[in-house]
Amino acid sequence: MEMIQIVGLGLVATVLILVIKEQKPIFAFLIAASTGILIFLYIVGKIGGIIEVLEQLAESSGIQMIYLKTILKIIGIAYIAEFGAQIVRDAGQESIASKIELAGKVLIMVLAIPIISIIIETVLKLLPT
Amino acid sequence: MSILSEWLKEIIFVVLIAVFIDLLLPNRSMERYVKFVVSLIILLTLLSPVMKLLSMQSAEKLEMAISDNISDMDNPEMNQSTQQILQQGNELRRQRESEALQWTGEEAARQMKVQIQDETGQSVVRVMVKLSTGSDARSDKRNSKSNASELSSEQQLEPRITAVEVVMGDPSNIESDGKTISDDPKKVDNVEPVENVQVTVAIPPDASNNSSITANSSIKDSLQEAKDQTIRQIENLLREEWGVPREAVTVVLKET
Repeated sequence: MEMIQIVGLGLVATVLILVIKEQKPIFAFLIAASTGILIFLYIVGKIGGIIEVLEQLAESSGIQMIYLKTILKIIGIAYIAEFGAQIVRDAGQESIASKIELAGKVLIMVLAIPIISIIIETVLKLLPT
Repeated sequence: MSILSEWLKEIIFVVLIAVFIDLLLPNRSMERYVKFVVSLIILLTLLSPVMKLLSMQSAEKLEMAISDNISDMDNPEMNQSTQQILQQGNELRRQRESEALQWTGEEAARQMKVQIQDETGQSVVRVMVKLSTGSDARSDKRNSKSNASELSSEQQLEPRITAVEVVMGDPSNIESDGKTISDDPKKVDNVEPVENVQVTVAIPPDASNNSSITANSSIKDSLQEAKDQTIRQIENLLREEWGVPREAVTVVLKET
């Protein structure tokens, strides 16, 4: 049922955009952006449920919570960067969209830096001096 | 054996989560980066027994590093809440200190009362003692310092007596002590009633009255001297026994 709601919303928005695009392209863009945000907000709750279950599982299995946190941060960065980039791309600004994606990639790499440093430290300790 | 099973469990869960993440990812462009980081985490999990062997707290280190770098967003809130907690702690401690001070003051006042009564042989109505630890003056400094625990507790727990107020009762049965009077040359300056005598003598309406006035004034004089002597006695006692400076002592003698 939810899927039908989302598809219906998307279809209505698409028809509206097609109708309005000839006269007012800026409104077409606004409709597209707001539809995207609506669907995203609709889905965020579900993602929250998934993350909750994952956290419970991790807690019960006793793995380090920091790993899960890192992974969840990566997902969040990826989703938000992707979302923003697509909206900007819809408006026709391809270059800005790619900059947003670049920022997302850099932030993901920043998350990776402490892990890399720990692994390298371990390897250096393992090697005979 | 339990270590091994825990290790295996950890690996399995991390790999499962990694696969799940792979499915959740929105598009292909991010995929390589995310896969890189996730594979690093899997590697870290695989290496965890080695890290334990080398006694490196990898998870704690990672947590510290990440919370240093990434979560700048939620840090101010955290800082604020810690500051609030610290403030509350400071307030509570100040309250407790003031309560303790009050109690100490009351106790000291009671002892002083007994001592003064023993020394002067007079009834003491009440003794008020004001104490301060000196922490009040430094409280601003302490607030500006973020690290309140740096203050040594020794300084805080050293109360000083700043003011003592002694209210004496009936002064009629004062024992005169000649030594203290003759010892103190300032005493003569303090005696005001002499002037009183002169004033009364200056307007003599009646000759017969005059002598009675002077007699009266001499009685007053001796009374005043005795009072002053009592005051001095109390001040000396307090200085010797309690280390109270003379300026801090206020003696009130009730007129009968």
